Amino acid sequence: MGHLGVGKLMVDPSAAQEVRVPDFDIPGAELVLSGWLTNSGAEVMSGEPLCEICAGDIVVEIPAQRSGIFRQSAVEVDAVVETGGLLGTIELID
Amino acid sequence: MFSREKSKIAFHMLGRVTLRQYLRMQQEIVETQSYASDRIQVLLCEHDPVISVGRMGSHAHIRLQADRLQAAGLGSVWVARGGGCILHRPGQLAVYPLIPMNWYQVSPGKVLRMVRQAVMDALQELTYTPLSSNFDFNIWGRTGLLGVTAMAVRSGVSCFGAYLNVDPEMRDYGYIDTACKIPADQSRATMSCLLAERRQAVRMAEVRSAMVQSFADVFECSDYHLITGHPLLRSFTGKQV
Repeated sequence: MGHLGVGKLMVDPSAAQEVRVPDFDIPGAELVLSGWLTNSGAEVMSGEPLCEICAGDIVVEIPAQRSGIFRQSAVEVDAVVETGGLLGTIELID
Repeated sequence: MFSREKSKIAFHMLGRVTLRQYLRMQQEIVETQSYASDRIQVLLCEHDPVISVGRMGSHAHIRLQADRLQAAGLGSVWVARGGGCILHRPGQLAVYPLIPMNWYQVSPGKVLRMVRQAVMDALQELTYTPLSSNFDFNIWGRTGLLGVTAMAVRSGVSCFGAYLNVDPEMRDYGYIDTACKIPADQSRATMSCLLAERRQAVRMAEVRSAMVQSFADVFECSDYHLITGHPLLRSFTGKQV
């Protein structure tokens, strides 16, 4: 698939990195998406927070591992998520 | 991972600070130290009266009428941490371990377990044995909830921490539901305190001292720094608190 221009950025949708719920190492904890911190379609830099997951006594920001265009998956705020569940993708900037 | 040779901790004794002052300082520390630092900063303080509401809390957990809250000078602040509603007051020790988690390669669960263990060990050092339970990350005693672990991870740094009721004025605590779930052997979601539990005076200085030693032990640090105040706090308040 060819490159698509988004503003001045060149992104390659085929080169997308998945953003998944990491293992919090808290057995039995219910994980809830407590908020999106980045809108779908927004440009993100590596390390920028994408969303926040609440595991009861701790809230964890999920950062972008790469720079690119973030696309949220269809997870609603306050929805229960599973370890390894897909939160979105980052279309890498060329 | 933590090790006696590698772990570096600076303990900052802040004294009494408002929650808002602390939150500004925490944000500054997280932004400036996120990935580059290998130093754990543990900040110990007491807060002026205020109710913080974490992600598991809601105003339904504050069973005080608005006029009573106003008369008591109790405002509420929404905070981006786990856990529910916590009433802060002098006499409650707040312990905030700001850990660069990527550097030490620790998971959120491991941090919660270590912080709770450090608080439990400090209480043991004070010759008090809390009820042993893996029900949650809180500290329970005969009289109820003594300590709460409520944290966040932001930019790879652990934020917030543990709150231990030593001997705060207990008025209004009975109207704030802090625990999000209650063990079978407990009846209340509200907080008690160490003074009620031990039925003898407890000195805050002793609790702080025990907490420093237990955090140093649990985080496997044999060489730590003990500092009064914090440079960032000075810049926020114009004076050292």
